[in-house]
Order: sequence, then structure tokens, then C-alpha cells
Amino acid sequence: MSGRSTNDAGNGIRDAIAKLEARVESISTALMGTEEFSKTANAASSVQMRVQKGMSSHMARQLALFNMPSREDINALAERVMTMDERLVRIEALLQRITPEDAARPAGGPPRTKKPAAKTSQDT
Amino acid sequence: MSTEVETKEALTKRMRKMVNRTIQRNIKGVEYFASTAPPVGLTPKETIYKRGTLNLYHYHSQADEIYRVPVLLVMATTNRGYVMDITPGGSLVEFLVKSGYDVFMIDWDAPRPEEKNLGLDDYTQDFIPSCIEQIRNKTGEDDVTAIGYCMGGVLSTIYAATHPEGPLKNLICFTTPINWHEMGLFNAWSDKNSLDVDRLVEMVGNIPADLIMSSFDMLRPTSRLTGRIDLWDNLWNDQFVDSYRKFDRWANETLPLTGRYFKQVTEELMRGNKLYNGDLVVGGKSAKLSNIKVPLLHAIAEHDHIIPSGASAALVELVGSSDKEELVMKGGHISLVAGPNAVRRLWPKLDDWLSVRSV
Repeated sequence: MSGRSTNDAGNGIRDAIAKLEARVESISTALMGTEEFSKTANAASSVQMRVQKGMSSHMARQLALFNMPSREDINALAERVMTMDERLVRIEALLQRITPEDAARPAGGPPRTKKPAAKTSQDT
Repeated sequence: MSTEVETKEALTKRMRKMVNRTIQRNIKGVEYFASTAPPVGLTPKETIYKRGTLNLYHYHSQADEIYRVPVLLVMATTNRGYVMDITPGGSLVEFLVKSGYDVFMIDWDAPRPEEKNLGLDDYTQDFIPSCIEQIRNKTGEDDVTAIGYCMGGVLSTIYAATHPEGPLKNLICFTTPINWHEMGLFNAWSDKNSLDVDRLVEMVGNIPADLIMSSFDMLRPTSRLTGRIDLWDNLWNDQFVDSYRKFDRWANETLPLTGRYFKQVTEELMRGNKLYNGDLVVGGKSAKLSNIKVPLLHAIAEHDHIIPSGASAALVELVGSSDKEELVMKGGHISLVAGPNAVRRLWPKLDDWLSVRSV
């Protein structure tokens, strides 16, 4: 911890916390490395995801009632935009290929002539 | 008698310090909650290329003369790139720019739902090569040095192994996992008896950031709580609070992973250990590490709780480069690359190694 000095009354508490932290972590690492823990944790995540998915499809039905786009509709639109984006990237790449090289490369900026500093005998 | 006076004086001094810090903690504590998050990523840059989740930044030169070979930083897919540019004076990007390197960075936005089918092949056979092409066009130089951090190191390594013909000049990896069977708890959690990756990906599309963040948190379950205690203890210290808030913000801005990429990483890298075994094929090309012949530097953190040294140590051993070096340094996964530890330890070594290979 920063700001630590021998004069500080909190040093004892800090040391106790550090020891407790190390102990808890070694116990939890041993526990979380077991197959049972992995199965339980993954099953819990899976249930959480399923609940989230159920909620979002319920929400989509409600939005449809109000004639509003759902997340799925927005995703479909985004997918179409991405396809156009990819086509633009391909067009840009083709344009770069047919443009003369020197025109594509902007001039300016510092010269690329820097050399590494010579090492002194102390460095080596 | 004089000892008694000294003891009284020392006690008074300690009491005064405690009271002063308690007052400061209260004042600063109110400031902490009332103020907005401190800004990060302040080194001037422009985005020169953007495609969906991918951003390519070019940092403005701050030296009169720069090295010939441009540098491309490849950020991990799970986190934002500003960890490399976290604060003026503590920014790797700023250090490189001021040392005379022409710096570019691949940074990732959260992948959108429609990007769920992006996989290792897209990242290593399309995104990285496209960015390198952009850099070559922008700089007029044929060679590029790639610096990959964590999963960014894995992507850079796969790119280098599948493009042995170039144009990579040097490869630098920071704490990059190669032997995935040494990944500790991550390895246990992704065992096929516990994790049905197909079902998970089918259900969610992209893997939510919450899930990624909680798996990082579970590696050190007490870290959030002890971090808060540490913060309270140091609330009087502006420098500590500023740094804490920046790193806390960064850790909380974990990115989702695309479904197909997560499935490939789980099945091919984690379970199959194919990068280590030399069996990995990406985009129809073999990603054997022995294909890599360019100079390689791999920096490993001694106390890395995310990528244990057993998982990362194999890189230098397996590449085909004759010019290769491994640096094992004090620090953890993040303090290796950012913060005061990195400023003192890694950055000067990095500059020494890279400068002579950038002309």
C-alpha cells in the first residue's frame, strides 16, 4: 500500500488484511479448481443467460404490440449496414490499388532517420 | 526523562497524522463521488481506419526525428487499448512516441451482435493484415513491428506464424499465453464436461462482458474488496486516487467477445492446446510457431495471476527465430505494461531492444 511508514498506526490492520486475503485466495483457488465448482458455475451462468434471453423475447413481443422495432430488428438493420461497410472497405482497397503509390502516401512528418543511441561502456 | 518526551512527541505526531488523514479522506471522499472519471488516452491521435469492432489509431509524432520502422500495438480483445495510454507520464504510447517511434494501435470496440461470427481467421488474416497495409500506405515503409498484449499477443503471434513471408520486422509480446493447458483455473472452467460452449454461444451470440469480467474477478475473489479498502486507506493521496480511478475504469470496461472467436479459443487453444502443439490452422494456413523467424521479444510478469508464466514461457522456446529473448520481470499482468513498475522496468528494456531493430 502506498503511503506506508513505520509511524503509521494502520500498518497492523494492513498486514492482517494482506494475510487474510492470501488465505481466502488460496482456499478459493482450491475450491474453484474442482470439477463440481466448474459445473455449478457454468450451470448458473447458463440459467442467467436463459432468463435474460426469455426477458428479451418477452420485451420484443411487447415492442411489437406498440409497433416499435425490437433488438432483433435493429440487429438485422445493423447487419445490412455492416455489409455495406464491408463493400465500402473493398472499394476503398481497390481505389488504393489503382491510385499511384506516391499519391496515396501523405508527405510530411519527421524524417525516419533516427538511430539508436550509442551505448556507453557503463551500459554494457 | 528525554525518552518520555520523545515518546510523547512521536505519539502526538502520529495522532496528528491520523487526524489529518481522516479529515483529508472525508474531504477527498466527497470529491471522489462528486467528480467525473478522470480522462484517459490523452496522447494526441487520429483514427485512420475503422471497421465494426476494429479501430486503427495513429499517434502524432512528438520527436524531431523518428525510427524508420513503424510500431503497431495490438490490444487484447477483452479490454480497451487506453491501458497503454492511461495517464501522461505513465503512458507506454507517450513513452514510445517521445522516444522517436511512429506508433499505431489496434483497439477494439465492443463487437456488435451482428459480428458474432468473427473468428480467429478474421482477426489474424483480415484485420491485422488490413491494418498493416494501412500503415505501409501511410508511412511508405515496408516493414512493421507488432507489439501484442495478452490476447493481442496471441493474435500477433498467429499472424506472424501464418505470414512468414513478411512484412513483419519484429514481434514483441507482453504476457502472451501459448501453452493453454497451463492456464490454471481458466483451464478447469472450460473443461468440456463443465462448459457446453456450443450451447452458450448459440444462446447469447456474443459472450457478454459481465461473464468475462466475473471470470477475471474469480481468479482473485478478494481483489475488489481489498481494492476498496486500499482506496479508502489512500483517499488522502490524490495521485493514488487518480491512478486507482483510471485502472478501475479500465478493468470495468471489459469487452464482450464474439461468439465464434470464444468458441475457437475454448476448443482449439484451451482444450486442444493447438498453438502449443503446432496443430493450429487459421484461414487454411498453418500457425506453427516454428514458422516465425523474425526477432522476438517476450516480456512475462513474475506474478501474473491471469496468464501464469507456465503458459507464456513456451513462446521463446518454440519460435524459429534465431534472435529471440525472454524478459521475466517483477509485477503482475497489468503492472508489467502500465503504471510506475512498467515505467521503471519494462519500458527502458523495450526501448533498448527495439531501437536497434527499428532502423
